[in-house]
Amino acid sequence: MRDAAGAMQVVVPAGATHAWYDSFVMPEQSVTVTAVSWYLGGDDTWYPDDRAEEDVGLEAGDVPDSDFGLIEIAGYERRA
Amino acid sequence: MGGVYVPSQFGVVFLPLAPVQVSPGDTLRVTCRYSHYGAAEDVVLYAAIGNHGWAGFDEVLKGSKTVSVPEDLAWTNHEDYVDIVVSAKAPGYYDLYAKIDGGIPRVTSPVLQDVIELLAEVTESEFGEIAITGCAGVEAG
Repeated sequence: MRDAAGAMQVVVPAGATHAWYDSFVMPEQSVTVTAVSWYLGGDDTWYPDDRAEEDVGLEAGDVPDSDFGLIEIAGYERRA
Repeated sequence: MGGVYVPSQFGVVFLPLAPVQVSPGDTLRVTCRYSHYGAAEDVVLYAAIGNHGWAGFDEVLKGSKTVSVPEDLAWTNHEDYVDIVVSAKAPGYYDLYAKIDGGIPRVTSPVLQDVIELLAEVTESEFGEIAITGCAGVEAG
């Protein structure tokens, strides 16, 4: 379900871990994904509780940084 | 050279175990296999023989060379070698290891224990003493 602004709304039981998926278009610029939690007050009103943000960089076409996994000695020999 | 085939991230790898004998003046060629991912760069492939102990690896002889690693958009295995020029050191068995980049290694190989036997330097020909041990007359003709 989405709200009027288009944000996806998901009900997560207290203490539970829940994952869901959504997608977005980010033409030619990076974006920031924001998650906000709300709780239902005793007066039946929703109040904002916590929030987290994750930057998603535009890296299409970029070569990742060089990295080495492991190295092994495959052989050794004497050469006079 | 003897050895065993052991499983590794590269599949099955031949692990040489038989010591190789080297003498001063020889070159020890160490072939290394490593995995890489990402942009191309030049790195230093480094190998050393020495003694591996609780405090780390005490290098006795070492060799290095610059290796140009290509761009790899997936984890890719590469193989290259580095030569260690053998000079006169205390004879005996030594350990062997390799790494990429020296000061702060990017990746370090397992240590192969006692696989290099360094032989004593052969000294130049020398005579100690000479003595006449006998003499006899020999008839002419």
